[in-house]
Amino acid sequence: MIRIKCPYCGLRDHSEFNYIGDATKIRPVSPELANDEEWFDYIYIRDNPRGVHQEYWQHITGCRSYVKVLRDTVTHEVLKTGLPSDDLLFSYEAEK
Amino acid sequence: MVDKDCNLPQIKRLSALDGQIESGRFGNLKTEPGILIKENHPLSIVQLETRKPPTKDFLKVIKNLFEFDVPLSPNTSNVSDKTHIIWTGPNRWIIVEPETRDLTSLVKSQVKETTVAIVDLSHARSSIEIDGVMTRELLLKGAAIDFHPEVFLVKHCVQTTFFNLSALICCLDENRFNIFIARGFALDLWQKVQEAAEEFGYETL
Repeated sequence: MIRIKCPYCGLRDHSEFNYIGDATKIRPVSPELANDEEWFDYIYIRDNPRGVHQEYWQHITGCRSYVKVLRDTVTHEVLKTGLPSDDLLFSYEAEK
Repeated sequence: MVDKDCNLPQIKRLSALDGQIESGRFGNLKTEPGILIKENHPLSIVQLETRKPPTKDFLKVIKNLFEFDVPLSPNTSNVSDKTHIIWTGPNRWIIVEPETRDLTSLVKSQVKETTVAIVDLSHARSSIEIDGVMTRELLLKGAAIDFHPEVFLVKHCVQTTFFNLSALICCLDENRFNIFIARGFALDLWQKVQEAAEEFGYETL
Protein backbone atom coordinates (compact mmCIF):
# COMPACT_ATOMS: atom_id res chain seq x y z
CA MET A 1 0.00 0.00 0.00
CA ILE A 2 1.33 3.44 -0.94
CA ARG A 3 0.81 6.16 1.64
CA ILE A 4 1.42 9.80 0.83
CA LYS A 5 1.98 12.53 3.39
CA CYS A 6 -0.17 15.53 2.48
CA PRO A 7 1.59 18.69 3.77
CA TYR A 8 -1.71 19.75 5.32
CA CYS A 9 -3.70 16.64 6.27
CA GLY A 10 -0.89 14.23 7.16
CA LEU A 11 -0.29 10.64 6.09
CA ARG A 12 -3.08 9.24 3.93
CA ASP A 13 -3.75 6.29 1.66
CA HIS A 14 -2.80 6.97 -1.97
CA SER A 15 -6.39 6.22 -3.04
CA GLU A 16 -7.26 9.68 -1.67
CA PHE A 17 -4.95 11.24 -4.26
CA ASN A 18 -5.05 11.72 -8.02
CA TYR A 19 -1.87 11.56 -10.05
CA ILE A 20 -1.44 14.83 -11.93
CA GLY A 21 1.86 14.47 -13.76
CA ASP A 22 5.56 15.04 -14.12
CA ALA A 23 6.78 17.83 -11.83
CA THR A 24 10.10 18.31 -13.60
CA LYS A 25 8.67 20.06 -16.66
CA ILE A 26 9.00 23.85 -16.59
CA ARG A 27 6.75 26.08 -18.67
CA PRO A 28 8.70 28.31 -21.08
CA VAL A 29 9.80 31.41 -19.17
CA SER A 30 8.77 33.76 -21.97
CA PRO A 31 5.72 32.10 -23.58
CA GLU A 32 5.50 34.69 -26.36
CA LEU A 33 9.13 34.02 -27.36
CA ALA A 34 9.03 30.20 -27.14
CA ASN A 35 9.07 28.36 -30.45
CA ASP A 36 6.92 25.36 -31.45
CA GLU A 37 9.62 22.90 -30.48
CA GLU A 38 9.82 24.24 -26.92
CA TRP A 39 6.03 24.15 -26.54
CA PHE A 40 5.87 20.61 -27.96
CA ASP A 41 8.52 19.50 -25.51
CA TYR A 42 6.76 21.15 -22.56
CA ILE A 43 3.33 19.75 -23.41
CA TYR A 44 4.00 16.29 -24.82
CA ILE A 45 7.48 14.97 -24.13
CA ARG A 46 7.87 13.01 -20.91
CA ASP A 47 10.75 10.90 -19.63
CA ASN A 48 10.02 7.50 -18.19
CA PRO A 49 12.75 7.34 -15.56
CA ARG A 50 13.72 4.24 -13.63
CA GLY A 51 14.23 5.40 -10.06
CA VAL A 52 13.64 8.68 -8.27
CA HIS A 53 11.05 10.94 -9.89
CA GLN A 54 9.30 14.18 -8.90
CA GLU A 55 5.56 14.17 -9.50
CA TYR A 56 2.49 16.28 -8.82
CA TRP A 57 -0.42 14.64 -7.06
CA GLN A 58 -3.67 16.16 -5.81
CA HIS A 59 -5.31 15.30 -2.50
CA ILE A 60 -8.58 14.99 -4.32
CA THR A 61 -10.81 13.55 -1.57
CA GLY A 62 -9.08 15.51 1.17
CA CYS A 63 -8.09 19.17 1.20
CA ARG A 64 -7.82 19.23 -2.64
CA SER A 65 -4.33 20.73 -2.47
CA TYR A 66 -1.60 19.92 -4.96
CA VAL A 67 1.28 17.96 -3.46
CA LYS A 68 4.74 17.36 -4.85
CA VAL A 69 5.88 13.78 -4.35
CA LEU A 70 9.34 12.29 -4.74
CA ARG A 71 8.73 8.66 -5.63
CA ASP A 72 10.92 5.74 -6.65
CA THR A 73 9.32 4.37 -9.82
CA VAL A 74 10.89 0.93 -9.27
CA THR A 75 9.86 0.28 -5.66
CA HIS A 76 6.95 2.81 -5.50
CA GLU A 77 8.45 4.03 -2.24
CA VAL A 78 7.43 7.61 -1.48
CA LEU A 79 10.70 9.23 -0.46
CA LYS A 80 9.54 12.74 0.29
CA THR A 81 6.52 15.01 -0.12
CA GLY A 82 6.04 18.75 0.02
CA LEU A 83 4.32 21.80 -1.39
CA PRO A 84 4.36 22.29 -5.20
CA SER A 85 7.01 25.00 -4.83
CA ASP A 86 9.44 22.72 -2.94
CA ASP A 87 12.50 21.24 -4.66
CA LEU A 88 12.27 17.76 -3.17
CA LEU A 89 15.11 16.23 -5.13
CA PHE A 90 17.55 18.85 -3.88
CA SER A 91 16.52 18.50 -0.23
CA TYR A 92 16.40 14.68 -0.50
CA GLU A 93 19.94 14.49 -1.84
CA ALA A 94 21.16 17.03 0.73
CA GLU A 95 19.77 14.84 3.53
CA LYS A 96 21.34 11.65 2.20
CA MET B 1 -25.13 38.72 16.84
CA VAL B 2 -26.32 40.39 13.66
CA ASP B 3 -29.56 38.75 12.61
CA LYS B 4 -31.31 41.71 11.10
CA ASP B 5 -32.83 41.16 7.64
CA CYS B 6 -31.43 37.62 7.46
CA ASN B 7 -34.65 35.67 7.65
CA LEU B 8 -34.99 32.19 6.26
CA PRO B 9 -35.67 31.86 2.54
CA GLN B 10 -39.22 30.86 1.63
CA ILE B 11 -38.22 27.71 -0.27
CA LYS B 12 -38.50 24.60 1.88
CA ARG B 13 -35.22 22.69 2.06
CA LEU B 14 -35.79 19.08 1.06
CA SER B 15 -33.70 16.26 2.49
CA ALA B 16 -31.96 13.87 0.10
CA LEU B 17 -33.15 11.11 2.48
CA ASP B 18 -36.76 12.25 2.49
CA GLY B 19 -38.98 9.16 2.77
CA GLN B 20 -36.00 6.80 3.01
CA ILE B 21 -35.47 6.67 6.77
CA GLU B 22 -37.37 4.07 8.75
CA SER B 23 -37.18 4.67 12.49
CA GLY B 24 -36.63 1.72 14.79
CA ARG B 25 -34.24 -0.97 16.06
CA PHE B 26 -32.40 -3.07 13.49
CA GLY B 27 -29.50 -5.50 13.12
CA ASN B 28 -28.25 -7.41 16.15
CA LEU B 29 -31.13 -7.34 18.62
CA LYS B 30 -29.37 -9.43 21.30
CA THR B 31 -27.66 -6.42 22.86
CA GLU B 32 -28.42 -2.78 23.45
CA PRO B 33 -27.92 -0.86 20.19
CA GLY B 34 -24.27 0.07 19.81
CA ILE B 35 -25.03 2.68 17.18
CA LEU B 36 -27.56 5.46 16.80
CA ILE B 37 -27.95 6.95 13.33
CA LYS B 38 -29.84 10.08 12.39
CA GLU B 39 -29.84 12.69 9.70
CA ASN B 40 -29.02 16.28 10.59
CA HIS B 41 -31.54 18.28 8.61
CA PRO B 42 -32.09 21.06 7.71
CA LEU B 43 -28.65 22.62 7.98
CA SER B 44 -27.24 25.92 6.80
CA ILE B 45 -23.80 25.29 5.35
CA VAL B 46 -21.65 28.12 4.03
CA GLN B 47 -18.17 27.74 2.59
CA LEU B 48 -15.63 30.52 2.99
CA GLU B 49 -12.43 30.63 1.00
CA THR B 50 -9.78 33.33 1.13
CA ARG B 51 -7.29 33.54 -1.72
CA LYS B 52 -4.44 34.22 0.66
CA PRO B 53 -3.99 33.54 4.39
CA PRO B 54 -6.89 35.24 6.17
CA THR B 55 -6.49 38.86 7.15
CA LYS B 56 -6.95 40.14 10.70
CA ASP B 57 -10.12 41.94 9.56
CA PHE B 58 -11.62 38.70 8.23
CA LEU B 59 -10.80 36.83 11.43
CA LYS B 60 -12.30 39.65 13.49
CA VAL B 61 -15.53 39.70 11.49
CA ILE B 62 -15.99 35.94 11.92
CA LYS B 63 -15.27 36.16 15.62
CA ASN B 64 -17.83 38.96 16.00
CA LEU B 65 -20.43 36.94 14.10
CA PHE B 66 -20.02 33.59 15.84
CA GLU B 67 -18.17 34.50 19.04
CA PHE B 68 -15.26 32.17 18.32
CA ASP B 69 -12.40 31.94 15.83
CA VAL B 70 -12.04 30.06 12.57
CA PRO B 71 -9.74 27.05 13.10
CA LEU B 72 -6.39 27.73 11.45
CA SER B 73 -4.85 24.27 11.94
CA PRO B 74 -5.58 21.49 9.43
CA ASN B 75 -8.04 18.77 10.46
CA THR B 76 -9.58 20.84 13.25
CA SER B 77 -12.85 22.58 13.94
CA ASN B 78 -14.29 25.02 16.46
CA VAL B 79 -17.74 24.52 17.83
CA SER B 80 -20.28 26.30 20.00
CA ASP B 81 -23.77 25.18 21.02
CA LYS B 82 -25.13 26.31 17.68
CA THR B 83 -22.35 26.78 15.15
CA HIS B 84 -19.60 24.52 13.87
CA ILE B 85 -16.72 25.95 11.81
CA ILE B 86 -14.63 23.27 10.13
CA TRP B 87 -11.26 23.52 8.36
CA THR B 88 -11.65 21.95 4.92
CA GLY B 89 -8.45 23.03 3.20
CA PRO B 90 -5.80 25.74 3.17
CA ASN B 91 -7.65 29.05 3.70
CA ARG B 92 -11.01 27.26 3.36
CA TRP B 93 -13.71 26.53 5.94
CA ILE B 94 -17.34 25.58 6.17
CA ILE B 95 -19.73 27.05 8.70
CA VAL B 96 -22.54 24.72 9.74
CA GLU B 97 -25.64 25.56 11.74
CA PRO B 98 -29.08 24.06 12.22
CA GLU B 99 -31.15 26.16 9.83
CA THR B 100 -32.76 28.98 11.78
CA ARG B 101 -31.67 31.98 9.72
CA ASP B 102 -30.31 32.87 6.29
CA LEU B 103 -26.68 32.23 7.16
CA THR B 104 -25.29 32.99 3.68
CA SER B 105 -26.84 36.46 3.58
CA LEU B 106 -25.67 37.11 7.12
CA VAL B 107 -22.07 36.21 6.29
CA LYS B 108 -22.17 38.10 2.98
CA SER B 109 -23.49 41.20 4.73
CA GLN B 110 -20.60 41.17 7.19
CA VAL B 111 -17.60 39.93 5.17
CA LYS B 112 -16.81 42.80 2.83
CA GLU B 113 -13.45 41.64 1.50
CA THR B 114 -13.60 40.94 -2.23
CA THR B 115 -10.96 38.23 -1.98
CA VAL B 116 -13.24 35.98 0.11
CA ALA B 117 -15.45 33.55 -1.80
CA ILE B 118 -18.70 32.82 0.05
CA VAL B 119 -20.69 29.86 -1.26
CA ASP B 120 -23.95 28.45 0.07
CA LEU B 121 -23.59 24.65 0.25
CA SER B 122 -26.80 23.97 2.21
CA HIS B 123 -28.47 22.24 -0.73
CA ALA B 124 -25.25 20.52 -1.79
CA ARG B 125 -24.41 18.54 1.34
CA SER B 126 -26.14 15.99 3.52
CA SER B 127 -25.14 15.20 7.06
CA ILE B 128 -25.51 11.97 8.99
CA GLU B 129 -24.81 11.79 12.70
CA ILE B 130 -23.58 8.56 14.29
CA ASP B 131 -23.51 8.07 18.02
CA GLY B 132 -22.99 5.15 20.39
CA VAL B 133 -20.26 3.05 21.95
CA MET B 134 -19.40 1.23 18.71
CA THR B 135 -19.17 4.34 16.52
CA ARG B 136 -15.39 4.33 16.20
CA GLU B 137 -15.44 0.62 15.29
CA LEU B 138 -17.97 1.37 12.58
CA LEU B 139 -15.92 4.24 11.17
CA LEU B 140 -12.85 1.99 10.99
CA LYS B 141 -14.72 -0.24 8.56
CA GLY B 142 -15.04 2.56 6.02
CA ALA B 143 -11.92 4.72 6.23
CA ALA B 144 -8.15 4.21 6.46
CA ILE B 145 -7.91 6.70 9.32
CA ASP B 146 -6.82 6.19 12.93
CA PHE B 147 -10.01 6.70 14.96
CA HIS B 148 -8.46 5.84 18.33
CA PRO B 149 -9.86 8.23 20.97
CA GLU B 150 -6.34 9.39 21.88
CA VAL B 151 -5.60 10.26 18.25
CA PHE B 152 -8.96 11.33 16.83
CA LEU B 153 -9.96 13.84 19.48
CA VAL B 154 -13.15 15.83 19.94
CA LYS B 155 -13.30 18.68 17.37
CA HIS B 156 -10.88 16.78 15.12
CA CYS B 157 -12.09 16.37 11.53
CA VAL B 158 -10.83 14.67 8.38
CA GLN B 159 -11.76 14.66 4.74
CA THR B 160 -11.25 11.20 3.36
CA THR B 161 -12.92 8.38 1.49
CA PHE B 162 -15.55 6.66 3.61
CA PHE B 163 -16.87 3.47 2.00
CA ASN B 164 -15.36 4.86 -1.22
CA LEU B 165 -17.35 8.08 -0.92
CA SER B 166 -15.69 11.45 -0.44
CA ALA B 167 -16.69 12.52 3.05
CA LEU B 168 -15.91 14.99 5.79
CA ILE B 169 -15.93 13.31 9.21
CA CYS B 170 -16.02 15.41 12.38
CA CYS B 171 -15.84 14.25 15.98
CA LEU B 172 -18.43 16.13 18.06
CA ASP B 173 -18.15 14.19 21.27
CA GLU B 174 -16.36 11.09 22.54
CA ASN B 175 -18.45 8.72 20.41
CA ARG B 176 -20.52 11.16 18.38
CA PHE B 177 -19.51 11.95 14.81
CA ASN B 178 -20.96 13.98 11.97
CA ILE B 179 -20.40 12.84 8.41
CA PHE B 180 -20.90 15.35 5.60
CA ILE B 181 -21.29 14.07 2.08
CA ALA B 182 -22.34 15.36 -1.34
CA ARG B 183 -26.13 15.29 -1.43
CA GLY B 184 -26.34 12.82 -4.31
CA PHE B 185 -24.49 10.18 -2.28
CA ALA B 186 -26.57 10.57 0.89
CA LEU B 187 -28.72 7.48 0.37
CA ASP B 188 -25.69 5.36 -0.52
CA LEU B 189 -23.93 6.51 2.66
CA TRP B 190 -27.04 5.89 4.76
CA GLN B 191 -27.28 2.32 3.47
CA LYS B 192 -23.54 1.68 3.88
CA VAL B 193 -23.67 2.88 7.48
CA GLN B 194 -26.72 0.73 8.20
CA GLU B 195 -25.02 -2.32 6.71
CA ALA B 196 -21.84 -1.68 8.73
CA ALA B 197 -23.86 -1.17 11.93
CA GLU B 198 -25.85 -4.41 11.67
CA GLU B 199 -23.44 -6.50 13.74
CA PHE B 200 -23.53 -3.94 16.58
CA GLY B 201 -27.29 -3.45 16.51
CA TYR B 202 -28.48 0.04 15.61
CA GLU B 203 -31.30 2.43 16.08
CA THR B 204 -32.38 5.01 13.52
CA LEU B 205 -34.03 8.21 14.68
